[in-house]
Amino acid sequence: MFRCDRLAIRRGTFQLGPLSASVEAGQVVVVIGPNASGKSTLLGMAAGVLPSSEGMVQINGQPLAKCDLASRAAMLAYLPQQPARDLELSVERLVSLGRLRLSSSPELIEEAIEEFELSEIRHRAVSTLSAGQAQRVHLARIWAQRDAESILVLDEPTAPLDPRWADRVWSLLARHAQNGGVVLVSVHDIAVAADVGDQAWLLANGSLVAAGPAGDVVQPDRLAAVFGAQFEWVVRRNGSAWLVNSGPSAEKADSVHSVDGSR
Amino acid sequence: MSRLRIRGFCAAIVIALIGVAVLRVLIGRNPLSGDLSLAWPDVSWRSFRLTAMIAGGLVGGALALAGTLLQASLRNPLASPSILGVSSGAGLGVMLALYVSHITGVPSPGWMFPAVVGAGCAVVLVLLLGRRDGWPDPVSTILAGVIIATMCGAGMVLLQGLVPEGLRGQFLSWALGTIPEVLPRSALPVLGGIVACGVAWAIWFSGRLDALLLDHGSAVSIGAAPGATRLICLVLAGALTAVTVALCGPIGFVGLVSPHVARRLVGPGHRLLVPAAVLCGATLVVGADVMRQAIDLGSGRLPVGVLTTLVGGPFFLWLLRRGGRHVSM
Repeated sequence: MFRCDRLAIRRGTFQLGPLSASVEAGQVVVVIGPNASGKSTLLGMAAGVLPSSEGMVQINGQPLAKCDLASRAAMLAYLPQQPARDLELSVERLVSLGRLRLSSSPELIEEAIEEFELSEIRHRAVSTLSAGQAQRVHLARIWAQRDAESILVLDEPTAPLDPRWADRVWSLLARHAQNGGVVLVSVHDIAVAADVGDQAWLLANGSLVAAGPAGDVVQPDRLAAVFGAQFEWVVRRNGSAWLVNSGPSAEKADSVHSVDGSR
Repeated sequence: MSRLRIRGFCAAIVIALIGVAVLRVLIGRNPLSGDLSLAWPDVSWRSFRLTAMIAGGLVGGALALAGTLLQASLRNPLASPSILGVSSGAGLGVMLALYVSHITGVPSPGWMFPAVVGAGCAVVLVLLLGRRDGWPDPVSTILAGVIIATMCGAGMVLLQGLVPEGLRGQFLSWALGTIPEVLPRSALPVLGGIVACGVAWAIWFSGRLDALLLDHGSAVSIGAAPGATRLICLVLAGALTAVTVALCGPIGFVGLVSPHVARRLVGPGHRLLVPAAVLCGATLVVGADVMRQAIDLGSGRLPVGVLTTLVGGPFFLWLLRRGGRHVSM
């Protein structure tokens, strides 16, 4: 189990927390909230990259801060919002860095390269790639680092990706969770958050406003209060419900079919 | 880059180094007639030339290693040993010793001791001022280094105005760098030991050095311990530079250019980059010392630092113009 226990940090005038939440294995947790609500800060602290001023992160009851580097790398992999792109390192080398402190495994590195379709560009410098390609390389590095029970902490992983690759990444993350891992991921697209998340943490002004099953947290009225925008469920042609942002006022709601907040 | 091509480049560097090393032993100039000769030296000259050849190779290798470690740890392609303020600190130490000796009449302790003390103080100050969350921060370290170097430079100028012209001349010739032909018995083993340990450490931890090029979050996540690795790099680079400056004075551009040349030849991975940069640095300094022997200005020899700067500067600009992408990390 992955647990954030009274995590808090103060940076200038911004205060995040103290907040507590936990995740069971096998779940995808989406972290949502307006700009500057503290999503990236929370993920940085959860990954042990950003030192918190109080509280701790625990994995299976063990404080993350007390784990040695190799254990940490085995238990948790982190992708920041803007990973370094101006790198002369080759794609293959960057992916292999995921195994830096872990047992060398050419098979896992090869699997990651194949999974993210990087074979043809494996010898190219990362700096020569597009933003989307570079993001796939960093995701492949995470993929090479993880094992079945790893916790993946990802800050807007699909932001630079095209729709096909975004869908592919969400499928891979869901598969990782199904195999016993944990995915903690921030996302700006509320519809995607509602679609992919098993659990959701809703942040506003550095506080955890709501945490629980995604279906309970990602509700139009709750989101309206936090984001200052209107959200409504619409029914797609295939019959599934999809959450859409209907704008700052409720007037646009006439153009969509509301299902009264239920999925 | 194919392995065959990399091996070819490595072989070329090694051959070039052997070539300039042999030339350094063979080349000589008669101090009385000024005639240039190219022959195996007799016993009376041999140890001088061998000392200069080995010292040049070790100094070049040390500066190149320091530059490679600094460029990786500070994530800055323009980082070089001078950025830590080491050379300026050593210069201020030497100038201060000369000034104190001048006003008190106590004999100066020579160049090495005050240079090492000055360089060491500068490194410690830069590391202390460049800390953030307890570990060296690249941007803060660079800023601290620039400020310390500037302050030490101002101190040197001030002290130069307070000593007689003869002492000032001696200092200026030291400040341009010279490969010595006579050294204390322990100097070369000490420098060689530091370089060997530094190269071994850098190759052993080449993965961590590669990881330093990543953003902080990714580097921490893969277990690279960027803070501790960065601190070791800076301390090692500071020690390497301090010892070379104490032995030879500041020699410019070697630490900046060598890693870039090596990066073009063998790529950015530190497992190959470190030894390649060390070989490039050694070749550059020994080669410059050979040129220094060959060039006769009629009124004494050029300091080797002038040659490395005159050759290294335009070469670096050529690299920059030829492929800006390669003058990066």
